[in-house]
Amino acid sequence: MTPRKRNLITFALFVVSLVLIVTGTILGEPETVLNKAINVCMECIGIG
Amino acid sequence: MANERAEAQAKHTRIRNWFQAAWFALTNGYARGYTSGKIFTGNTKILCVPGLNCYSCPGALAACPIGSLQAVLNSSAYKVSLYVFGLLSMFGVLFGRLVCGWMCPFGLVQDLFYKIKVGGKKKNLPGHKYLRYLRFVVLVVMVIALPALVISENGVGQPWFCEWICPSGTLLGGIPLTLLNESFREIIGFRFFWKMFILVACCLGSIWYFRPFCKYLCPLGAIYGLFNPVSTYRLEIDPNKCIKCHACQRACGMDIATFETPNSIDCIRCGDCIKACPKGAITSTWGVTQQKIKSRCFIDDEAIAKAAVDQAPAAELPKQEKIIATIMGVLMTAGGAASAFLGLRFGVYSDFRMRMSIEALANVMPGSFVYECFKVLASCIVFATGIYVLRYRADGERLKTVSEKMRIAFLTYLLCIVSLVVSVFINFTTISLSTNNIVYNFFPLLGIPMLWAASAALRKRIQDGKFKALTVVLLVLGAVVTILAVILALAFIFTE
Repeated sequence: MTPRKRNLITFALFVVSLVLIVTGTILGEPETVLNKAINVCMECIGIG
Repeated sequence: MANERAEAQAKHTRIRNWFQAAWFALTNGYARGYTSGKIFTGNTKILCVPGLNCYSCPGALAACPIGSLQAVLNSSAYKVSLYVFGLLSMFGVLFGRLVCGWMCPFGLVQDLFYKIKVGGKKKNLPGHKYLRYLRFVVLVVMVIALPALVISENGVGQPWFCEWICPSGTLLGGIPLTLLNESFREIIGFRFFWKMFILVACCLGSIWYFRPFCKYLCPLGAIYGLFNPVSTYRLEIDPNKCIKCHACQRACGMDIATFETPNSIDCIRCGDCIKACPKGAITSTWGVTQQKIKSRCFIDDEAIAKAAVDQAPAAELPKQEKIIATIMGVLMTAGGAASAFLGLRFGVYSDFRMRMSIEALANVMPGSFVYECFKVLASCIVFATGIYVLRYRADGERLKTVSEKMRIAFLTYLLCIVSLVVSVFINFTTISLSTNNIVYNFFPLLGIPMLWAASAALRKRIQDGKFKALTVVLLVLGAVVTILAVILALAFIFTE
């Protein structure tokens, strides 16, 4: 694969990841993440 | 020669370990959590850190990507997590498994255990050839399939990986929280002891084997590894220099023949192979860029200074070009100084004082504070470059390096804008369009085109004499903002 082609793939993937983040944000996923993260995750620490 | 290489390698490992520790301190810097036994509840936890860092660690300031992925998949409201997959792929595209080598707290723990000097150290477990794919099984089964498919009667799933495997959660969250809270100690059960067993096995295993958890179990490493061939950080081999001596493979803890597969999915980008290569045949894409900037931005300066001593001085620039360089220098010096002053006074200082005096803000991550710091840094670079331009306004050779110096300021301003967007996003605030705010908050936005114009004007003027209309417009815009920033700064100084 030529470096130019590889850079194009990198850029395309970067754009795709931005689109995913924006779409997820519009759907309200960050709030779910925040709700989980600001409460002690009993499963993560091995209790509960 | 061999000794020098060994020393360079040891120094590189030390730098990496200190970077890992600093990264851990930065992303787990909620000091109050370690004394109160409570976790941080600020809104920066809307974002994920790139490494495997439990969000139930008392100091954690952001969320764990694997925990977040399971949290969204568990939820009855979503079938798939676009947000977390987006973040993971962005980290993957930018860094690949550089995250594992440099930004993962559990990676640091394993590295430290591996430093313990005992006999019988080996790189891989028996069956490594097949076991290395186990992490993909963990990813698909424990992180994606079970949390999404095994749903309880009330429509909620469980974070299976966190619950039964993750040793990072036990180490960073489980142990400190149970030590600090009696109520947690009272309800410890089988699962806690099972997870302690996994943690102890990983730590003890790390004494003899290099990063066993990363090699065989980590689902995050499995995801990032897929991005290794296309991430912005890649390794490249110069076939003309490589003598296939296997020195890179001997130095590699992950046991990768770097000269054959420089972008292997197993490579954690620790950089040991680069230092170990006797012919300098291995380079990283970031290393090449860094070298280019270094040689054009800094080393050329020394070379030019040396040449100036050895040879006759170069002819001075024409008067017209000197005038342009002087105007640029004045604009950059004044704009940079004013913006740095405003950022320090209204941003860094005010923000810090407010945070120290208002208890309600203690749990709010200073997103705006980070933005202000970047802004002040970028302004200082612009200021320093302005002084440089003024000092060497007659020296065409030196002025050519200005565009490289500007790239660093560009990068800092870009980081500044990213942190501004993040700050607005996580604090759910808007910025009002008062004159003060336009100058104060939007200077960085205009700073980028202004810097581009300044650099283009100098370079093009010096090289081919063309001066485009866009450059003029941007320069005028930059000049207006600079003047406004200077007026605002002076007005503040004289009225206080």
